[in-house]
Amino acid sequence: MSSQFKDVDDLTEADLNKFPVWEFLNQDQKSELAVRPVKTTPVKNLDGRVVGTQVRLANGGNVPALIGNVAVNDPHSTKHFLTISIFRSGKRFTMARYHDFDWNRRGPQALADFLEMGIEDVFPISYDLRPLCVGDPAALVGTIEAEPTDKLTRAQIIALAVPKNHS
Amino acid sequence: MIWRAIIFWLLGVSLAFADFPRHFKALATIHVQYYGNRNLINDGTRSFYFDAENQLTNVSVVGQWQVSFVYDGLNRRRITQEFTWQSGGWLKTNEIHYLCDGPLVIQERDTNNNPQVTYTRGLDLSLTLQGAGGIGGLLGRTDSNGSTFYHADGNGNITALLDGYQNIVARYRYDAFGKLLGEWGTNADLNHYRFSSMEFFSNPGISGYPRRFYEPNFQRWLNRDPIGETGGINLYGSVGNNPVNFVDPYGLDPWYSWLNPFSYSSGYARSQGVQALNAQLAANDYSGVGDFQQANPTWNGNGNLTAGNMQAVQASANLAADAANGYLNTMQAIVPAGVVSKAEQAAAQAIADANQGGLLSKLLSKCKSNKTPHFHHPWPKYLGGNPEQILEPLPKALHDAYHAGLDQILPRQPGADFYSDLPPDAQAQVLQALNTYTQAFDAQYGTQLYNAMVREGFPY
Repeated sequence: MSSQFKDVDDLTEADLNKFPVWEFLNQDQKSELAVRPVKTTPVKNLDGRVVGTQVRLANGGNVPALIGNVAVNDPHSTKHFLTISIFRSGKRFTMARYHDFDWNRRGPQALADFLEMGIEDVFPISYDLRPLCVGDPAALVGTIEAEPTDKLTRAQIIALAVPKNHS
Repeated sequence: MIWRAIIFWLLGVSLAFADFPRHFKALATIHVQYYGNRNLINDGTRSFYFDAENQLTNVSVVGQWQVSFVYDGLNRRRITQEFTWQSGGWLKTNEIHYLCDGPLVIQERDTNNNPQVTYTRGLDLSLTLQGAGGIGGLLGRTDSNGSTFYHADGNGNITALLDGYQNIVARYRYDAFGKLLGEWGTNADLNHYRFSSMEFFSNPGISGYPRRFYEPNFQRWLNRDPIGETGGINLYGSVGNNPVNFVDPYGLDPWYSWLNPFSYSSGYARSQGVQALNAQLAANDYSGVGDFQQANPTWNGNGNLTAGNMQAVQASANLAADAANGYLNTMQAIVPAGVVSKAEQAAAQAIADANQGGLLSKLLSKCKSNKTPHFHHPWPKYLGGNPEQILEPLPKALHDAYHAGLDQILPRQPGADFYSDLPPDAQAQVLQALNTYTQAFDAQYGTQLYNAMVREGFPY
């Protein structure tokens, strides 16, 4: 595999500084997790892509993060499915969303613990992907709350996850 | 002269041939007057009237004669009426109703719908029935007196008609621009199809092409090219002033050369193809072809890294094809299928030309093999699937869609180790989520991925 390609869990801060946007190859024969850099930004879609960016914590501090599942023109989907991984000291923590099976073990409190901060210092986390992507600002700019204000049922989550149009 | 020019300028656009240099003064002095959409409305003798579609509807000379034209929704001339001025009013002397096959007239009928003249057509200059607008394709003319048979020169100009006994019953000579120099024979006036196999209207002295009228004395069209500058920057010019080597089947593109059908706007199609490809690359965040090629490696059947990502390949090719199709649709709207088939070939050639950089030629070749499906691990390995699985063939787009949706509920972001290190109860929840999602995906797209997962030992 070319050095340009990495498994998504091997992406480092340096990789993301060099190329903020990476996309899944979906080459199952090699690796289902392989991503490659998108060399030109801003991009116009983030389907199957993850974005490295700085996010702002509630205490005003910025931390490097890897954000995924952003639908550039669908704020509703983005709100429920956005993933965020935070880098700290060469380690990475991926926070569970409210509908994930390990919300209790890997949720907001676990992230605060990873950052060695109080949860009120971490949440809400603010992100702004507009410098890297063109789309609906309602999807590209937002906050991640410790406790989401509205939640979907499991059935609604599955229904929302299944792509409605693959073309 | 100045005040006269000002008056003409106020009325429209004027050309005063009398003001041309001395060596042109042997020609008659003709003042032509344009108006509205810059259609010729008067040449000092004849008055021309156009409808909102810039189709000529009437030509007249005050107190002498007039000819009117009626068109159908496909811009085809379907009725011609002729009048003469008698006793202080217009008297209709003739009315012809046309029966068409596509753009070409095949029969003339009277007002009672009785056939008067039937035209038999064969292969035209394009070696198809209508590809060259019927130019050079006229075979026979049949009326109540029997049939006569057309002869044409290499550019499809009617030169003679013979009867069934091989007697020359009509003969015509033209100058290079179609001006009739002479006609002979008993049937010379009966036959209206003359220069470029187009119908000639004697009183107005103009030739009716499918989309415009041509004035052979002026050596130009009466109005501007309906396809604008695509047909050349001189909107009134005919065949690039090169009537010996070129023809114009529809009154649209003066540069069309039936000697080389592929030359029909191929430059335009080519530029469209290149623009489309560049737009597609930009839309997918590539700065250019080189960037695309470098950034989209994939693996061939032998596991070797090669250039060209199938999805991007397909997307790029689709967009190039869209541009070509857009071009073809435009052509379809203004010309019949025969020309479109030629334009289609030109567009295909344009795409091939656009591909010459290396990448795009690979795009096309890879697109040919696009039916080769992508292979999917039915039970994703990072979610616990066995390392060795029978890969499930899946269209690339569906494969991407499946993973994109699955990423929403079971993101790949944490990596394979994360899922494999989960405690049993958490793994069970993961598999349940995978189960539910996959069955929902199957229901949405008619795939059989859940069955394939079970085949691979999926426990739910």
